[in-house]
Amino acid sequence: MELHDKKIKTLIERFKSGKEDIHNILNDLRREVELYIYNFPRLAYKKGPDICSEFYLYVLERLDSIIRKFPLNETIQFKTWFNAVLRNQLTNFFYYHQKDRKLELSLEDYENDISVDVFEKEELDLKTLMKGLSSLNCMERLSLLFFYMPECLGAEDIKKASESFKMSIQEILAIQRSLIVAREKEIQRIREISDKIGKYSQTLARLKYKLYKGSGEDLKIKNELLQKIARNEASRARLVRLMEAPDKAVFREFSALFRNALVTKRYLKTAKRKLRIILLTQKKMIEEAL
Amino acid sequence: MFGCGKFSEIELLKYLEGSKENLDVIEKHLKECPLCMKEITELNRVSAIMESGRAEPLRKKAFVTIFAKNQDFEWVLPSAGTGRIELLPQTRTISGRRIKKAVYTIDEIPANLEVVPVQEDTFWVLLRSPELSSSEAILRKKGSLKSIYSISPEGPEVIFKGIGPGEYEVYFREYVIRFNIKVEN
Repeated sequence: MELHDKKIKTLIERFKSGKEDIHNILNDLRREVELYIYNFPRLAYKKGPDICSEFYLYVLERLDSIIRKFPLNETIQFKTWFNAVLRNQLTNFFYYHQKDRKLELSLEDYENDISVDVFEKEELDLKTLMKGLSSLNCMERLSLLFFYMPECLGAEDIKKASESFKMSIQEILAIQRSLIVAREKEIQRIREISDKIGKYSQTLARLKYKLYKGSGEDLKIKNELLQKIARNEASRARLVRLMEAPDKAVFREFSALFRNALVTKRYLKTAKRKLRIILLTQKKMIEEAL
Repeated sequence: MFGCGKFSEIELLKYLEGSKENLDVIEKHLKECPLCMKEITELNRVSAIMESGRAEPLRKKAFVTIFAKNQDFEWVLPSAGTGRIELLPQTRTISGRRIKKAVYTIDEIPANLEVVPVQEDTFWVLLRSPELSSSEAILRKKGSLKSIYSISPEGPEVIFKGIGPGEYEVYFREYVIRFNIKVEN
């Protein structure tokens, strides 16, 4: 999600100067940030639309005082500052509205709803996966976390990664950020392709049914139908290949942790194989125990 | 305060953006301070997710606070969204007194909300919207999951009767109107 840094900063400057009608400026500012505020609980903490609406109203009521606190004299992007503000506001919102909830928002709050179908096709719960990951050595565990679940890296993981990969914490955080962005884009790409595949499958089913039902029709019509089916099948197969193609963008960002692409590939492959063996062993042990 | 408070929020946010200002000092501190490290990691994750995430359209909403004084509306304050209030004079008579009703036209939502006092502390709330005829209108007390009214109107108007002071929410289609009726005697 984009926030127009320059535009927002200009509006804040005008708002703070007090020379113009602040209600109009505040309305313009609201229009610039409203989607960002509304989507914040959903994207950052996987909360539902009801909480998003409530939170939106909560922040909107305070937007005036929030905006006044933005440090215009600092060389900082509005969105970086706004993320910190919204996180604090969300903590306050939960404290104010839902007293039974814990006050601190962190990764654990996000993890509850996280999808874990990244390593295996079969269903795997996060607890089993984390147990399996903890059996790997530090570098292997971190490699898998960075590559498949960069948003699940905690403070300790970042610190350990800084030591293991011999990089500064700032560099590691930047890599984590790029990986989260790349992975999200990859997920969106797969979703789009998968939607297109679904549409082709629907068309194919319709064409095949037409061919089956119209068995008495002349050969020319049947031939046209068969050609259409073949064209659609080919397009669908091309999309399936595209969907299964390795994710280059994520890999490129990930390889920044290693010396070169070859070492990266080897590390990832070994770690993945080891984890699979650990998970299979765990599964076998559970089955035997039952 | 950010983390343990040794560095200001701005200093750490600049660091997160890649600034080299006080880099060594901050790095050293982060290695020693779990509180700051946790905060900065969390903020880094949130920033990345917000950057890459796709926006979902806003559920359009309005938030209206209605103050009624001595069976007469004193003023109406739209806390969020914009709209126009229209006080219709002398439309009802209760206990020998002529009272007013308030109509709130909401700019962001194709609707208007009419609040009519019928007795001491009791109101009728009329919601008018062309979108209503194809939707169910639900009235809830704010924060409650239980519906007070759930009506599928045949026309573009729905009336909620016997409404006392308090905070309510009306849901219809993708819209939410929250209104707060306050009575000052």
